[in-house]
Amino acid sequence: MSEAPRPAAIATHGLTKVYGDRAAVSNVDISVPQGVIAGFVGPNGSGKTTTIRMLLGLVAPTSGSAEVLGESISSPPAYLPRVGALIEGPAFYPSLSGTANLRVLTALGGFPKKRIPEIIETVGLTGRERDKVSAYSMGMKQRLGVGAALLADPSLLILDEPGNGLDPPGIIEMRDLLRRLRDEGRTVFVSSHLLAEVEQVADWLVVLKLGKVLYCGEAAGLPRRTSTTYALRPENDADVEALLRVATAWGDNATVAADGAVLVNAAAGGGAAINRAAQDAGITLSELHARVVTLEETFLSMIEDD
Amino acid sequence: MFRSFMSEWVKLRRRAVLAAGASMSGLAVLLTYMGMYQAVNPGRPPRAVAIARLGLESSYGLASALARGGLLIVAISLILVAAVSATEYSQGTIRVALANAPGRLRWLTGKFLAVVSFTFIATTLAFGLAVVAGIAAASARDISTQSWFSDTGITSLAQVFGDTLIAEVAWSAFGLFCAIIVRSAGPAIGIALAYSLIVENLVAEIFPDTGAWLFGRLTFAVVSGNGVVPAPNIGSTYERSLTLMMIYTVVLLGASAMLFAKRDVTS
Repeated sequence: MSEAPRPAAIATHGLTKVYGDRAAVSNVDISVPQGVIAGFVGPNGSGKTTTIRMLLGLVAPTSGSAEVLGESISSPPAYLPRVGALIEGPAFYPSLSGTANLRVLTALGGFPKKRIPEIIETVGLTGRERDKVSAYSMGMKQRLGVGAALLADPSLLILDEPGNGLDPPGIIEMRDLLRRLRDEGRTVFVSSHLLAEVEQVADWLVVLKLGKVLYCGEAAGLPRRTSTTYALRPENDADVEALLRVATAWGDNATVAADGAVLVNAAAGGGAAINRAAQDAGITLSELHARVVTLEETFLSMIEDD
Repeated sequence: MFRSFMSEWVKLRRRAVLAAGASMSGLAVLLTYMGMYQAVNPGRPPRAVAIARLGLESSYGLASALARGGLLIVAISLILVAAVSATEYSQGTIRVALANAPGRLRWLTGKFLAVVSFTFIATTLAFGLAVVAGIAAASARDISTQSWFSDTGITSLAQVFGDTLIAEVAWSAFGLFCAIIVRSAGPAIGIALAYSLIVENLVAEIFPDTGAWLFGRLTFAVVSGNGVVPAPNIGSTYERSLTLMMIYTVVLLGASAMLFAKRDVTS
């Protein structure tokens, strides 16, 4: 029996935003099921932030429609109380402390004050919460921004570049936090240009370029680049030239790397075949590995091909 | 709206905002004290900025000294409202606020009422301190204060205080309008001050008949406390000035609300 499709946390239908004679977002149709981490990727100027602003009711679409948590974006008060958002970087009152900034938002949203210490701990700002935000590093502001988005105990989190300014341990913590939030049943819609980060956490992907959707679906279903790069190293260094000839006959763009390995592009899953071809030529390989095509490479090939 | 109001009050405890409130008290005290200190004795030639001793000793004496600071207090309110409203755009906090607020107009209304309530409290404190300073300065200069606390004296004091609060609301509405139009604190304050200090004077110079219709001049007529202190004759009675100023206030608030509700937030 097939699993029933999950209801959409976000659904857009022909969503378009035009500024003057430039379409920032053009006819965008996306659907993000509930309970997933959805990566929203695209190069700068692709319309990610404009789309997010429309979803949050900050910018009115020129045409098209959208629903967030089942409610039309034409009436943001119907769904905003269940949404937490970090939009285009953290924005706070610099002369107030981290805690006071969160107090501003708890008062505004009608959230319980007891959430503040919990949030401070969740985002790792314990001990610095009474410092003025003007004294925070970019990473700390980013953490506070994510904390502010969590105040509402939201069903849907919309995070615009949450990894900006975080150090490597901070990025790992952020990744863990996003997974934890997903595991609690929340939907996380995260826009990022750090594609390697998105790849590690996203169950669902939306790829945007110049305001148009290139892909929207499960991350695992993203059509990967079919060509894979193989790195081959002969047991005997004297066999490099002969191996290069074999590789040239077998695949594309065969070259010798600076470390002496022979690199060749070929169809995915061809490792055994090239190993046999090398053996047939009397060459024993000491190393053979295929580099997995990253989301970044797939993404780049998608936006180049489009 | 109440949530927005309470949320704004957390922000109003910032040092810069408190300093603006304190400056109202400082200016009111200074101008009242100076008014007493510079009192012109009978028989001495009048000075442009000084109040005659006999005037100060009348029932209207304290009220007229306080009214000298009224326009400055109103100007500080204008700057405060323009600054705290426009800074939401320049700091980007408006997008965070609106993503958490129950509705744009409710957020704006709550914010405006909170800032105006802050200016009311600051003005009340300023008037209170100015009264104390006025009594102290009068005592030091042997100015009789006996008539100040007669029925007429108290009424005139209340009139100046009430008119200052009304003018504060009007100019706060103007500050909010400028902030929403330009979405940046510096230019918003600059435009508001340039209009009131330069544009109105130029217009009144070139077209003298317009004086009775200009927002700033009407405010001057209102803050004078219905004749408690002499105001330039702009060809408008106190009642007419008050009514027109209120109409302008409603128009400014309506225009601000309409713009704020409809315009995209791209900050």
